[in-house]
Order: sequence, then C-alpha cells, then structure tokens
Amino acid sequence: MVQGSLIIVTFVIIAALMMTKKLPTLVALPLMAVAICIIAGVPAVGVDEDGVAIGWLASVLEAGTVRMGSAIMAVIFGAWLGQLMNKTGVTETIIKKSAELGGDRPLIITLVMAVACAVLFTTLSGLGSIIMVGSIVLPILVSVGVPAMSAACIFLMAFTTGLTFNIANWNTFASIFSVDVEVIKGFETYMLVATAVATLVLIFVEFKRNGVKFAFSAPVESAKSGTQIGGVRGAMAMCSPLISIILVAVFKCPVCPAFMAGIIWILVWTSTGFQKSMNLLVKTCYDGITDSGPAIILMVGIGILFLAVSHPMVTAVLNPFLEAIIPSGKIGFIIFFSLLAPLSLYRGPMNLFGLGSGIAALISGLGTINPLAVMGAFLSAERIQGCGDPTNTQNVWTANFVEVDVNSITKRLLPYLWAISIIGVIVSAVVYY
Amino acid sequence: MRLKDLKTANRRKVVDVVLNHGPLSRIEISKAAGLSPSTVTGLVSSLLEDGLFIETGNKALTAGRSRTELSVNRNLGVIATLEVGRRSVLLTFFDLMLEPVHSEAISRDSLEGNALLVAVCNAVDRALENSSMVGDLLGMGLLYQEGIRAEDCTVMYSTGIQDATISLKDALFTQYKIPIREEHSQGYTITQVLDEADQDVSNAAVISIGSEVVVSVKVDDALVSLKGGATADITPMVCGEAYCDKSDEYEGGCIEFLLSLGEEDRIACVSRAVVSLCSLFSLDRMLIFGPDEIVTDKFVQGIEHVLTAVFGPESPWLEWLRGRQLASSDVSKTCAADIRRATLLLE
Repeated sequence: MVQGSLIIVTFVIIAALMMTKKLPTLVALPLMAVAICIIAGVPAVGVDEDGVAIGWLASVLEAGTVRMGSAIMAVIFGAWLGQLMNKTGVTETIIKKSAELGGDRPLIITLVMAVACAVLFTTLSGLGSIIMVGSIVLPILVSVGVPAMSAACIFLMAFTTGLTFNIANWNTFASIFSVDVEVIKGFETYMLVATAVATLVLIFVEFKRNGVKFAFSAPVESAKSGTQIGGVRGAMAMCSPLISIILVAVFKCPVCPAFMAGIIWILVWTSTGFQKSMNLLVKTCYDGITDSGPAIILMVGIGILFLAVSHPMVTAVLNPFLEAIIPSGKIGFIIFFSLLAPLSLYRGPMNLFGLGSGIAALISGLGTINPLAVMGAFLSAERIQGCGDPTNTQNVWTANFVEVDVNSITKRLLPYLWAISIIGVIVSAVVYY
Repeated sequence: MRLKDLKTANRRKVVDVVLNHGPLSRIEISKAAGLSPSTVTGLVSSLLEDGLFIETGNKALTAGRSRTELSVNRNLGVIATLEVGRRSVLLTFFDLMLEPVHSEAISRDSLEGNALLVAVCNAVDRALENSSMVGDLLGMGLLYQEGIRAEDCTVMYSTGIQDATISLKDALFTQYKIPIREEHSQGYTITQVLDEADQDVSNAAVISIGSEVVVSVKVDDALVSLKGGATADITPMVCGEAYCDKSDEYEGGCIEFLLSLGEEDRIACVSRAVVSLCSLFSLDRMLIFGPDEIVTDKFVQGIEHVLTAVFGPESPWLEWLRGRQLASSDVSKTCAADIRRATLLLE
C-alpha cells in the first residue's frame, strides 16, 4: 500500500516536472523507471533462481535501452528515406504538381494539398520535413484565400492523416505493445479512415465559416521553383512515398527492408550519376540519423520505463491500485478512455511517447483488459497528441509560421481529434474487448 | 498557356531584362524582351504600381525621342548575406542595386548552435531598425567558409517539452520567413570566376587554394559534375598523407600546411593537382587563386615550368588570381545578386 502510494506520488511529481518543462522527457522517463524500481524494492543487482538478472541495472536500464531496437532502426531508415525525398526534390515536386492539379479553385487546391501532405507524411518525419512541406503548402493555401488559422489546422490534420500510415510509427507502436505490425496496421486502418473523414469535415467547415467561395477563382501565388524532377523519371520518383507502405501493407514485407527498397527506388529514379548518388546516399543517412536523434533517445526512455513498470516486483505493488481504477466492461472501457484521451496533451499520462507507454504496459499487464483493446485505446488518444498537442515542434512551428497562437490551434482541432479518439475507442471495444 | 500565366511570364521577362541590362526605357525593354511596346507599357505600369520599378529620372535618347529610364527600386527592400567562418560571421546588407548599405562582423568565439542563431538574429534585427536601411528584408544568403559545413551549424528547436534539430538555414527561415540560400563560399567563388572567364574559353578549370583546395571544371561550357557537385575537394591530392594524418593540427587548414613547407615542396604539391587536371581534361585555361603568401612570383614560375616540362606547347594558359582566395565582397555580392533575381522573378 505504502509502496504503491509512493510510486503514484513519484509518478505525479515527475509528470508535473515534465509537463511544466522543468525536466526533459529524456531524463524523466529513465528517472521514473529507476525511482519506481527502487520504491518497489527491486534490487540494483541480482539474479533469480534460474540465474536470470532481475536487478534494475541489467533488467531495466540495460535491457530497456535496446527494447525498442527494431523501432529505432525503423525510425532511422524512415528518416533516411525522408531525407532522400527532400534532397532529391521529390517532396517539392509532389507538392508543386499537386498545386498545379488544383488549378485556381481554393477548395480543390486545399483538398489536393491535404491529400499530398497526407501521402508525404506516410514516409516523411521530423521537423525539417515539416518545414520543407509547410513552407510551400501554407503559403499556397493562404494565397488562395484560406485564413491562416484554417490553413494551419488543415495542414496539421493532413499531416496527422499521413502519420497514421507511417510504417516507422507502426513499428514503434508494435514494439511498445509487443504485437505484430499487422495488428497495428489493422487498427490504424480504422484510424486512417476516421482521421481522413475528420480532415475533410474540417476543410468544409472552415470554408463555410470563412466564406471562402468554393468556386472563387483566386490567383495562386506562383510557387517558387526549386529542385523539381520531370518526365517519366519524375513520375516514378513521385511514387517513392508509396513503395514502402505498399510493401509492408500489401506484401507483408518487414519494415526496414521496405524502407531500403524505397531508398533504392528513389535513387534509381533521381540519379544523375553513380558517384553523386553514393555521396547523396551517405549524406542523407547521416542527416537522417541526426533528424531522428530526439525520437531515438525518447524511445530508449520508453523502453526503460516499459521494463520498469512490467517488472514482476513493480506490478505486484501497483496492480491493486490499478484494479481499483481501471474499469471493467465494454461501456466502462469506452467511457473511461474516451474521457481520458485529452490527457495525452502536454505529455500527460495518456501520451504514448512518454508516460503513457508505461501506463499502457501496466494496464495490459493487469490482465483484466485485452492488451489489444488497451493498444487501441492508447492509439486513439495518440490522435489528440500527434495533431493537437501545443508542445509538439510541428504545432509550434506551424503556428509561428502563419502567425497564430499555438493554443488556439489546439482549441480549434480538439473537437475533431476527440471525436476521432472516441471513434477509435469504440472500434477498439467492439473489435478487441 | 493560360492568360494569367502568360502575363506572369512576360512580367518576369521584363524584370529579367532590367536586372541584366540595368536601367532601360520602355522601348528598350520591349526590344530586349521581344515583347510589344504596349505589352511592356502595361507590365511596367503594374511594376511601378507595385513599387518594384521606379523611373530614374534619366532620359534615354531612343530613335530621336527622349524616353524615361526604368530601374529596379533600390529601396524596395534589402538582401542580407551571412558569411560563416570559423572565427567570425560577417553580415552584409545590400540594397536592390546591390550596393552594400550595412556590414557587421559578429565574433564567433564560443558561439555554436542556438547561441550563434541568437547572435545573428540580434545583429539582423538591429540592422533592420537602423534608419539608413529602407524596406523589408527580402532574402538571405548563407555562405559557409573555411571548410564549415551546414551540419556544423545545426540549431535545437525546442518547445520546452519536445526538441528537434534543424539547420541554421531552416532556423533563419523560421525566424524571418524569407528565402534563404545556402552555399559554400569557396564553391561560389569558383563558379563566379568560371562564369566571368573569357566567353571564348569553353574548357577551363579553377583551383582555389584556401583552408581546403577546391577545384571546379568547365568542359564545353558546362560545369563538370564532380564529387561535391560543381566542385571537388582535392586537398588530399595536393597535400598528401602528411597533411591528412595531422590535419587537426593545422588550424588554418591547407594554407597553414603549405606555408609550413619550403617553396619547392609547395610547388611540387600544387603541381600534382595541376598536372592531374590537365591530364584528365582538355583545358584551354586554368585559373588558380590563393593568398599572396602562397602565390608568389617564384611559385608561379615553378608551376608554369612544371607544366611546360610535362605538356610542352599544349599546356593550358595559366591565369593567376592572387589574393582572391576569399574575395568576400565579390562572393557576397554575387550571392545577393542571385537572391535578388530569385526574389524578383519569383524563382
């Protein structure tokens, strides 16, 4: 009882320090993991009767650093492919061609831009990619009469739609929940539909609200030309974001080889010489690793926290508390996780890329709820965090770029995101509970 | 082509002509751009209204009639260039006639990443508040010198809870929302020098001796694609193993290493690169530039002697550009010209 209470107090204190920006997440997660272990009486060093290490130094800190290994590699390869798409001009070409396709009707342009962004962010990741895409898309939207706030919201929703089918993310979630990528794909398909529909609704609502005429012909600011690829090579290169997804989703190819195939594909269709391609390959690899650095160290922390909360001695202490809180029954499950979904904001307890990963592990470990239902509930809450969290770098950058308040974006998007989240929780309850 | 696109294309042509030729009258613009006088008149009116053009007040005598010259409005805005070196950052502002209007050196000692960004932004903001600077900041050029790469100047973008690493270019873009062009100063100088080379010379190479030795080659009037794009770093070829193994000890890079050698050894080092280039490419001219301390008279004679000994009468014409190793004002002005063109032509 005392230990359980102390763990909860520690959890709340560290969570508060994180949410008030006093402690960075990369310190908070391992710190929490170690604190939980110490309070629960886990020895620093020790072995069980079978000789397996049970001390937190080995079984939590050491093992935790590599627990998310495959997800980390997927993030690196995904970032590598993203860098190649940016540096070879594929990203820019996709956006510019999409803008041309939209003609000069604001609604059509907005819809096409949203689709283009969604397609791109199935592969791209990182703030650098957000800047590259946003710096082209946002001015286009604003130039056709879409108000800055609406443009920012639409851009972020389109980004989140694409992120639903980002296979590097799938691998991350698969590692967190210890399930197969196929399971994640199955649930994310539902979330993709829900997010895409919500994005469309947002676009139509914003257009109605702002009075931007559907057929109003407005001059599109001539997009600045940079690196663009044309012809058959360009067309094939523009398929790059889809190669890896198709390999994983349709042909059940493992994630890293799928990214490798995407990398080879893009090099083949954008190559202007072997030596140049090799130089580009190496440079983008290093840049991709730099880009994914913050995500990698975060996943190390997630891995450590996961192993801490799932340590037998910790679960023995915490389970009685959780059993008192976690609802039983489908309706209770739906109400509980629907109401708590916004707690994923500000790195709250429902945020999978932080404390939420540990809580998800704890709830799954209880055994009272199907772990897949827990997975669905947390992935649903992740919608709110991924798109609406005002502490996300993409949210802050987008808000600054169009000169709107980042918290206003959250307020505007929260109804849509919460609705998506509720739908996800309901689907999760129906399919998995 | 849609009417709107045609108008945009014609407008660009008019701006391009004035950028290339300087102040011109409407009829002169019409002839140079290949557009009808009435089209040019309409476009010029729109450009005058937008403030992009001004009437200079000078009169051009064309076919007996006095016609007012038009020029780019120098006060429409300013363009900044930032030359990032190892010890300092030089910030220069140009008006739209490419006259420098402000210059400031920022010490780079112990300034990295975010501290460097803050120092640069403070300097830019201070300069923009200066009453002698008229107009908005339209674009910025980032010129990396002395072997510095873009990866050496990354910035941490933090929301307090989430962090991301972005380039200095992206950080400046985020701050000012203007086009930012990123180049390596040395490569820029080389490309500029090759562009300035005699129009009759189709095959030429430029060797720049600086903290690195960088080469660029033009064959049949087209830049040859080398390892680094338009340029290649041939420092290992010139300086050899002795330098490569201990390059960290030479703060000034290749220049410092070459200066530590005797004159004969220096000549031998650079001759290696010169002979190799002449063997690989059929060159009419080779331009070599470097600091005065290296490109001495004896050095020049030594290289020419080696070339003559190896290639005889077929050796290319050697042109020496002493002291042009880092012609900072030329490089930044060229960069500003490119940004001006890109901004005004919406490229």
